[in-house]
Amino acid sequence: MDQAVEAVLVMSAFTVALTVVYFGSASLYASSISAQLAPALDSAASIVASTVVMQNGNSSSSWSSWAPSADPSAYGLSQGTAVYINATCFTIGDNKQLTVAWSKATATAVAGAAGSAHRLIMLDDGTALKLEVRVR
Amino acid sequence: MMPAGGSMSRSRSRSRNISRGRSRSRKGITMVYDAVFACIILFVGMALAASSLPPAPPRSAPDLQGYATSLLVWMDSKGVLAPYIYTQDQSGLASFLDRLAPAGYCVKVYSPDWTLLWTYTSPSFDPGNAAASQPYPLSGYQGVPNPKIVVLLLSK
Repeated sequence: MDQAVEAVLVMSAFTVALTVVYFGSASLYASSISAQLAPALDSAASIVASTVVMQNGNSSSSWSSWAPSADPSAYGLSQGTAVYINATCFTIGDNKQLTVAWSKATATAVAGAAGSAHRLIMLDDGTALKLEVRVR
Repeated sequence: MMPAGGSMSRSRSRSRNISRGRSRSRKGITMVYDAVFACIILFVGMALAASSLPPAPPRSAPDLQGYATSLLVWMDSKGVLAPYIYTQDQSGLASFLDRLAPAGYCVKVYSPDWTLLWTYTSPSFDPGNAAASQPYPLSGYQGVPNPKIVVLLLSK
């Protein structure tokens, strides 16, 4: 084989290997960093969930009039933190069927790797409130 | 007739060409070895870097323990837990928990001496990132005493 063709083939193979290693290392590093950050994001989500629960307690009227806020400063979090809150109130009727009484959520969902916290609160009117908070 | 000197010079130039070709192919093989060796160094470097990364800290889910216990308490207070447990209606139980659980879940039902009677696991349950409820005792169903213990595991 011509030496020039050989050189091109060898260089191409090396470039492919270098690209694989480059992207492999970058994805490994990114996953490692997100794994390190995950507990902190979970804690932040837990702070938001606890704040919301403390504001409303187990009063069904308080939860009915409550409007979820995605403003991170309202929960003592730094600006730039994305907060998503989704609250769903469930009730079980006489026919033992689970139905949604109402549901409220902040406008924008937080996609991708995020910290999350969940609470289930039994309200004073016998309904149960499922609260989901996601923070990124 | 060809002069003897001409044939000698031709054979000399042929042997020169052969040795040049051998040296070229040797160069080509050396280039391949170099590339393979460089690739090995790259992959070994990546493996070393990957092994030196700090392990991911375990994600504790303390909120899920309270969530699971509250869920069992609420379902029992509404009178829907015991029928599903005692009739072993797993699909009925799943229809509730699919909507009420944060993500994956696993229900384990034990006898009072902690013998596992049956278990139901949702497809999305992740045991590596789960928390269990407090053991929830049920005394019986439809007036018949038949104690059982229910444990609900939830995962994010």
